[in-house]
Amino acid sequence: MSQENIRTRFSFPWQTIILILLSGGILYAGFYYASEIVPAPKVGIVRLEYDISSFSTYIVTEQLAYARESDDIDAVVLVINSPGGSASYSEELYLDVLNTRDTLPVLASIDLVAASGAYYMAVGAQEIYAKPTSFVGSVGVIASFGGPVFIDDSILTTGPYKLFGGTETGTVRQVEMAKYTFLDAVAVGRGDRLIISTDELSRAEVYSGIQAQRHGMIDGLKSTDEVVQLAAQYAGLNNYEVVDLFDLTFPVEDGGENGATLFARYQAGPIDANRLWAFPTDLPPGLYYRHYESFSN
Amino acid sequence: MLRNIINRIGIVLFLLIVVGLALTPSVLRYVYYHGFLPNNILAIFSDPVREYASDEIPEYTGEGVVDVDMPPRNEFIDNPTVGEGVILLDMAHGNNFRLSEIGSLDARLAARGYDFIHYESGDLSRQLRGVDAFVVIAPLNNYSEKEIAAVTDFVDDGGRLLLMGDPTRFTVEFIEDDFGFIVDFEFVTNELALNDLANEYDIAFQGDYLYNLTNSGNESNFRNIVITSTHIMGDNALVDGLDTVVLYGAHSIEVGANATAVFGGGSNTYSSATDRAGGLTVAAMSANEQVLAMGDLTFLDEPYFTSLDNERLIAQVADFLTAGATTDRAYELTDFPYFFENGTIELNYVGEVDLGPDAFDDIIRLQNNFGAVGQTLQVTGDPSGENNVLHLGLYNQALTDEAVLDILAEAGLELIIDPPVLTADELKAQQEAEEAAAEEAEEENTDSDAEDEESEGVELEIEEEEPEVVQLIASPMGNIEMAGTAVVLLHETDGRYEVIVLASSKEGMENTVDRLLDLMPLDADYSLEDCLTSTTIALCPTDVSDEPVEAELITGTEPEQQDDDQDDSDEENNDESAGEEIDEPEPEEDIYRPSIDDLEPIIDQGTIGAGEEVAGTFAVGEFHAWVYSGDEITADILATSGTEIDMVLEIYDAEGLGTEYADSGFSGDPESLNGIVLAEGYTIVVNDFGLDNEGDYAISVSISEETADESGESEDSVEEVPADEESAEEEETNEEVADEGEETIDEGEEESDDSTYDIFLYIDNNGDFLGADQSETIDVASLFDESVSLTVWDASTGNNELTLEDLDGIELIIWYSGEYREEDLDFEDEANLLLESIFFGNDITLVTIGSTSPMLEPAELVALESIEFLDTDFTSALGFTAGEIALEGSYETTLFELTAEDTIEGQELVAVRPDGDNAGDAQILLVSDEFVNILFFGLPLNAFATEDQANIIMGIVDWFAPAGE
Repeated sequence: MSQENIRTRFSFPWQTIILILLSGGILYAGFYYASEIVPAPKVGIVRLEYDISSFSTYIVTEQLAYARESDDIDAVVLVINSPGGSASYSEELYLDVLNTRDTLPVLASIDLVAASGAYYMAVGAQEIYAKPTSFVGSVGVIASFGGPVFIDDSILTTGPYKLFGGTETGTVRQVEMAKYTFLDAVAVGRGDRLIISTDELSRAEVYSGIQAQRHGMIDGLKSTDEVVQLAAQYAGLNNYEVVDLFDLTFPVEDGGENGATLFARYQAGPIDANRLWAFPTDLPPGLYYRHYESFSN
Repeated sequence: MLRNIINRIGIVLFLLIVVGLALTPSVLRYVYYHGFLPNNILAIFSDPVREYASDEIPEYTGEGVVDVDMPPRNEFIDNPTVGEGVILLDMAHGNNFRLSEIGSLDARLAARGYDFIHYESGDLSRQLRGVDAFVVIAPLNNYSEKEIAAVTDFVDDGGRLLLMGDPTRFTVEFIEDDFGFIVDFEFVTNELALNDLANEYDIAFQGDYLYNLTNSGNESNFRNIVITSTHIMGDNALVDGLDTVVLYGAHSIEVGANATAVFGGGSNTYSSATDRAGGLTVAAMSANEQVLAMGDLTFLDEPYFTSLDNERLIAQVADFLTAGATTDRAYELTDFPYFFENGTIELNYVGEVDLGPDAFDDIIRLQNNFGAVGQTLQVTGDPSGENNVLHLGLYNQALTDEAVLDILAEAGLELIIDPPVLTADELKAQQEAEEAAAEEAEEENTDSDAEDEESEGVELEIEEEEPEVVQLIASPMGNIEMAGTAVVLLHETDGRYEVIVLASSKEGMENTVDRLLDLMPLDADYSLEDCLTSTTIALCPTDVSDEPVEAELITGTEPEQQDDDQDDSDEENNDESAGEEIDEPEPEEDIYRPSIDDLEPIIDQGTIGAGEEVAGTFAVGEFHAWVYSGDEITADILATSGTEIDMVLEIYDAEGLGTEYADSGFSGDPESLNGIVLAEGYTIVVNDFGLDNEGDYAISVSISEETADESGESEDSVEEVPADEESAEEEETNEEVADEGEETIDEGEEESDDSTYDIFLYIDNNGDFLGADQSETIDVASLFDESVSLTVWDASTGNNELTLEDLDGIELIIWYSGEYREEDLDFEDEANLLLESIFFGNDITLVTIGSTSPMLEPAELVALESIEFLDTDFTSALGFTAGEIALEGSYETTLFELTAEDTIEGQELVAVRPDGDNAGDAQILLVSDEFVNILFFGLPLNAFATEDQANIIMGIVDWFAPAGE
């Protein structure tokens, strides 16, 4: 045996050890950075609760913006418990849902009620699901008349309606157009799935979930968890996390700077049905996609 | 070289292995989350979800939103037929609309010469007399049977009726709790008072509203339904030329067999009551198209009346309302004077009448009254035959008016006066003829002896007594004496109306004309209710006693002969009245008149004269005396005070005896005595009712206006009225005296016939029950025997409202409150009425029986188990003797806080508390003075044994009953 062969046969396997160590290190680094490279996909829950107002609209649109901008939010489920509210803010929500659908699937799950403006927002979603006895619908508008038109010597205006905004009959027509706006939004959002005629829909009835399904106003009857699963499926997720986007959008650790403290009372929780159905106490002049049952309380 | 290559390949492989190892966890993680599908693996570098989503997103542009424009105003030029008339607008049934809302209809009516007047209260049938149509809009209160009958009669007679409902006008019922606070309210939308009237015409307004959800079928809102010509069902003037109208919230109307639908909603118009479409009527007509029912009101309001053909529809509704004026409207006499629709009314005095100053006054009064209802009255001596006529006159003169007699005959009336009543001239001529005849006979019989003359005279006297007087109105309703009865007759010829008013005397005729004038205001009460009426005839009492059938209507200076006759009759009347004056009962000397000396302490405040006002200040317990100084006058005296004083006003004559008394109000109310005589030395005394308050007051004395007027007239007549008129006035005065005497006699007869004692038993179980057991209440009414006339009034039933009329003829009021106590008496209710009845000089005795006397509240209650009767006549009358008796139990009763030492004149203790801290305190107390008789029986009857209760009651009755009853 040559000295060289002997040296080869009896040399220490430094290279193998180094290779193993290197491989292990590489694997470790791979595992270490895998959660960064492939973050766990999430289905975000956005809750619309109680009246649609500037406050609730801000809360929801901020969460939708977070979902759009966040790489790990792969789908959004809107969980709705609302009788509607301000017309303009309802439309804002509707348009923002459509906008979010540019980025990721958005589904709606109706718990107790998605009436009027809340349903308006829901029809922006890709699909809507409710419970058999959820309240769905009330496609219509409420508005209050202005006062009589008169001339006031002490106030100079440049037009007959500068002080009043318009005539009573003008208000009637605005309201009627708002109704058609709502109907159009439903027609656009639901497309061919809508079975009920828009004339029939304009009765502004509140339907049960099962009725709404038969009218094509919703896509089916599912629990919120099932809707989340469906949203994950539409997002192509086998496994995912479910997160409440409010917690991510308004983190507590921000110390309230971003509204966590300010909106603390808006934390998800059991719905107060009394508050949900309460007669609106403050409706300044304007148009409302709002459902309330007169003097039911 | 090759080695280098191999080494490099190895390095590459090494690096690949390193990279592969580094990425393996990420790949595994991705596969875990997203699956192992190839596209998912590829998607690790892309975002398949976002691509998927972007394909499905609809775009919202608002292009599908329908325009909601203002509807056009279809061209319409109103070309009304101008007439004149009045439309009655119901405002008496909580009609829920504002006049401004019907401004467009009002304008269309005005263009046709018609005005709205309002029915706000009163007799609807009266107010419908003078109108062409009745408009009822959204009433919330129901119509009475009488009102419904008035409306149906009105329509039957040719009047027009417009009924308008509106689903936005409904009743809100407020629900109150036990304390009267509103705790809830309820919308009552389906109970429509309008149907009270509509149902009479086979029409029923539904409590729904109509809606249309289609853009073309509504106008800017689902409840604003568009009605096109294809939805017009009727064929009449109301819908003539209509193409499209809009109703802004409308009831549907059910149409029965006797009504006709005019227009309604189309196939897409739904009823809110059924959510079913089609066949819905919103306007209907009935009763030969005299009744129009419409389910909407809002289309009359601005700006809605400008939509499409609404303006034309409103104009045609106005045409409907005014069309009644051109149709034959059936009038009755009670519609006076509203059948005088067109042209001038001619006033014709029946017979040949020389009109004097009295007639001028009457004519002016008539013209003013007719003018007030928009009619013109002109005097004519000879009716033209073209205008409406009002004939006024006496029966006797009507006999000479052929035209009037013809009209009377046509109505089945005949005037019978036999022998004829002669006018003054005729009488004078007759007397002259008789005197001439007598003179002639005297001349012829100058040779006859005295016996012959005497026998002839007797024969003449017998002949003068013979004639039988027949003065009758023969009518379809029977023969009626002319005296005391007036005839009013309505006669219609070709749309021209004549009214004949006839009476026996001028006064009777004037009274009858007054009746008719009272009918003229539309809101007047029915003033022919005591007349015998048919459609065209009324036989009315003239309210003139012993009315003569006068020969002619004297409206100015009367003929001398007439005066002579009057003088003769005056003398007779004077004799009669003088006789009656002698027969008038003298004032009873034993009537108690209080003495001013009984008032202590009375403080002299000085004098007061006519036209003066004085002021004073009471200390507690004081009477204040003001002595009148001046000539004897008939005065009005007013005493006022602050709210703390309940004024009592009395007048004492110069001898110090009471003549007048007033205490009709409560604290702060003024007291007055009007038309009373004040002479030098008379004293005006004022005090606080309870003598327990202090405060300021004022008294004024003025000469009574009524007396001043009367005396003024009297003086004028002495100075200016000719002797003949003066004598006529004297006649009237004498007649009045005679009438009064007759009334006095009648009253006396009535009183003598009325032998029973009239008692009003007021069972007062208001307030709290003090007893432990409700069963302790007793049937008080059963304790009276049959000798009394008992009226029982149970306060708990509350079905009727007690009025002073209910107390007519009552001599004793027993206010039985038993063991009930009402601390807070409401002096607006029955309690006040009962107190009024005894304090207003009605000579009614009041007995209060019960644990608490309503008149003494609030008072302390103290338990009472026995009482001590004192030795009084009243004790005996109740069937008890002096001494203590045990009661049936323990009763909480009023503490009078009055003992024998505290009593004043007129107060007598009958029973007192026997022991304890309140021993000697009154429990049964008689109060009797010149003004009131009151018994305070301060415990319930059930405190006594059953066998004693009736004795107590009848003992009280017998005590207070006047002798003979």
